[in-house]
Amino acid sequence: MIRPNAHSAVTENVDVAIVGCGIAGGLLAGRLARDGFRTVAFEKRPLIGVPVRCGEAAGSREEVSHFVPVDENWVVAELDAARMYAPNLTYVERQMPGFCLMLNRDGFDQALAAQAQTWGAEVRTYHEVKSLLWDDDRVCGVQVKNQADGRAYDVKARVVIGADGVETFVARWAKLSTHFKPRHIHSAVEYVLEDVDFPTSRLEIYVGKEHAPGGYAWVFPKGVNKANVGLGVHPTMAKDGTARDYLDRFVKKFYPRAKVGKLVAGGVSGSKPLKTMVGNGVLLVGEAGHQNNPLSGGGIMNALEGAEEAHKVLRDALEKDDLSKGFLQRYDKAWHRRNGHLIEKFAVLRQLFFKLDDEDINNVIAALNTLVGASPGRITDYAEVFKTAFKAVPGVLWKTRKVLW
Amino acid sequence: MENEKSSLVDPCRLRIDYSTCVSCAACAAVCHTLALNMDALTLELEEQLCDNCSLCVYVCPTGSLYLLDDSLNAAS
Repeated sequence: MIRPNAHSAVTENVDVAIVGCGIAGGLLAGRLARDGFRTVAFEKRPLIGVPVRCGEAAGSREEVSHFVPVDENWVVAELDAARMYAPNLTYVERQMPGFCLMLNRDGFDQALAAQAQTWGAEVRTYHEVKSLLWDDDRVCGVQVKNQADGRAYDVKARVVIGADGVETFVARWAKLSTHFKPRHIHSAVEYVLEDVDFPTSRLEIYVGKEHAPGGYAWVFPKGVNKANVGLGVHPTMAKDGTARDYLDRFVKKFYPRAKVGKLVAGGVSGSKPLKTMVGNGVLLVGEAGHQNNPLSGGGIMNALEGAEEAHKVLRDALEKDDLSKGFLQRYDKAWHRRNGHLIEKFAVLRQLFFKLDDEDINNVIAALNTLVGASPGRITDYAEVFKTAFKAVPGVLWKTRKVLW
Repeated sequence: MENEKSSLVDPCRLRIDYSTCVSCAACAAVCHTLALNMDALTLELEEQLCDNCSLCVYVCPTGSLYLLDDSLNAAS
């Protein structure tokens, strides 16, 4: 935290300064610029979206195209089914035509940034935000370093957006969140595997202590003979090495002949929603605001939806010239109504999931199979799925008493 | 600052193995002193802020972080 910097050569004035030009930052920059606000997005990497830190499974074509026109250059597959394997390798499968697009995240992020530029936003890559500028208890801008020439400069902004991902510094500078506790984060790692027969339109999930304690392993196909194969583990439950050690064993077991390509890694938030994602002159969006699903780790659609809700509130706030915490809290409420209430439930389910041992999960998958078999295609709501799963585990109430009460 | 003070007592023993680090920043997400941060492309450690808490060592997906003389500072 610093005061406006006297050493800066230039001080600019903008309406909105966005820190991080990923999914949420890119979409929000575009929407606000389209409304006529002077918007600048700062991205510390030289190239948007690179390196990729993502499993790259998004929502359906229809859901994604609500935010950005779908371009086949960054869509690599469209999935129709999901299969979940129990520790004993029995599985339950669900057909859901077109439920998921597999993306090239770098291309996707670049498309959002290009859309933002088309609508008049300025995107500055290789410019890293180093700190916030404060005016009493109000955030009033950012201090930026141009990595290309080492020059530091100040940008005064009416509102600063933290869209800087799981390791968010904006949230911490603004005292909206702290570091993640190890129990609230998953340690995830992924390889791009090639030259193996993968199902081209079905994603697969493996659960169980052997493969991914406290998390799951995934096989997300990316076209013919290519897939993202990864896993996330709970760092305090992974006793046999790092996430990468678990993944190496998984790949050796299931895809011993695959050609192992690029390695992708990252921390994934598994926490409840933040109490508030706003302060005076500052607002968080995407994983910086803990908007991803704490059970699945998925965050692409959540970031897009979070940015959409943020846009509506920011547009009104900028028009009324009221960027106070009190006004911006409308965004907290809007997010809670749209997704936050679900995320709270998923955070509890995540805790319940930790209490299950492999035998329990085997029973759950068997019970779900009975449910699917009895009425194929009928499972439509989470409630029924979880009710069935819950009944399948003997002594579940005792095991989960500390989570539920 | 408080963090700087503690580092005088316990100098930073955290080391980064850049041969395996993929700059994913999982460590930065759990770092409570903001000692770890992603530069444009690589992980950076501000040694004077690090208090050897080892949370980052725990969450590193690729095992690229370690504390020298780890036995003296078992993770909480």
